[in-house]
Amino acid sequence: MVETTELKEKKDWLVPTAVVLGGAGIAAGLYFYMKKPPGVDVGDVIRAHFKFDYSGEGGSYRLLVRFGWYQPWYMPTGFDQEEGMDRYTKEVNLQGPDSYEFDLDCVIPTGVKASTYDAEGSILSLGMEPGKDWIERVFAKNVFTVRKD
Amino acid sequence: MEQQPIAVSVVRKAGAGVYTEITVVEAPASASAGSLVQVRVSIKNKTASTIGIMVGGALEYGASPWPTISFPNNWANFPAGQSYYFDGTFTMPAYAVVIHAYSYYYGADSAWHFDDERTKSVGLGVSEPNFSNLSVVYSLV
Repeated sequence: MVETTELKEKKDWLVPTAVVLGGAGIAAGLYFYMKKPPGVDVGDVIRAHFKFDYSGEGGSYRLLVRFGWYQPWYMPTGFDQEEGMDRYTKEVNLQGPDSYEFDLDCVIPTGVKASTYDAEGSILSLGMEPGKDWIERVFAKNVFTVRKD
Repeated sequence: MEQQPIAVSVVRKAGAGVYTEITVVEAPASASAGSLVQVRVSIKNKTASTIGIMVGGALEYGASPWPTISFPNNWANFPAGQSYYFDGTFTMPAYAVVIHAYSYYYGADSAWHFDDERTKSVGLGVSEPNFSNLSVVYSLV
């Protein structure tokens, strides 16, 4: 009795593997390029677009933006503001329950050091101390990079 | 967090903030009765070595004994010169309260020693207007 073995075509995995790895590399590069924060210079304007829902009866509140570093474990309030950066505020008057949107323009001041900054956006009542008290706040990482001092 | 607190070798008289400093007590300016109030107490290790530090807190109102503030994690070993914070909660009573926060250090006698204190008032207010779904998007203009 003669045993027979079915012949199979030998596959070359080198080309498809190279194509897959190459594609993944391009995708990763594109991802990190797209994630790179925009570079800014002194005098440039960063616009903070606030969006929130409000269910109170109306009143005046303060929107606050600070730039620095989000460090929840080592900073008393979770955020370390860069000393040379301004605190950007805007007083808003809410009429009643609704969804609201506001823009707050933040001009990059002179003298800030070249670095990549995180941001804190918060809502305060008028009597609250900026940077210490808040009603609601959110953080954003790597918002922009100041190119040079 | 270490399994055991690290002790200060020399136990000194309490109450002066010799080894620790409560730098900030964070809490809302007012809260409505029955609401859960978040408290954050930041403490700094003033020494040149790692020591065990514990937080405590009470609500001053009415007659003592005052109710305590619940801190799920109430101690940690702090590296020299570093700050750390502890989060706690309490249910707002039907009175304005004063949060009284305390810090303690772990001594060589295997006991916690009171060291510093700080207060913050929380008024009794109507419910804070509700904000929700806050998002902030940043763009270069």
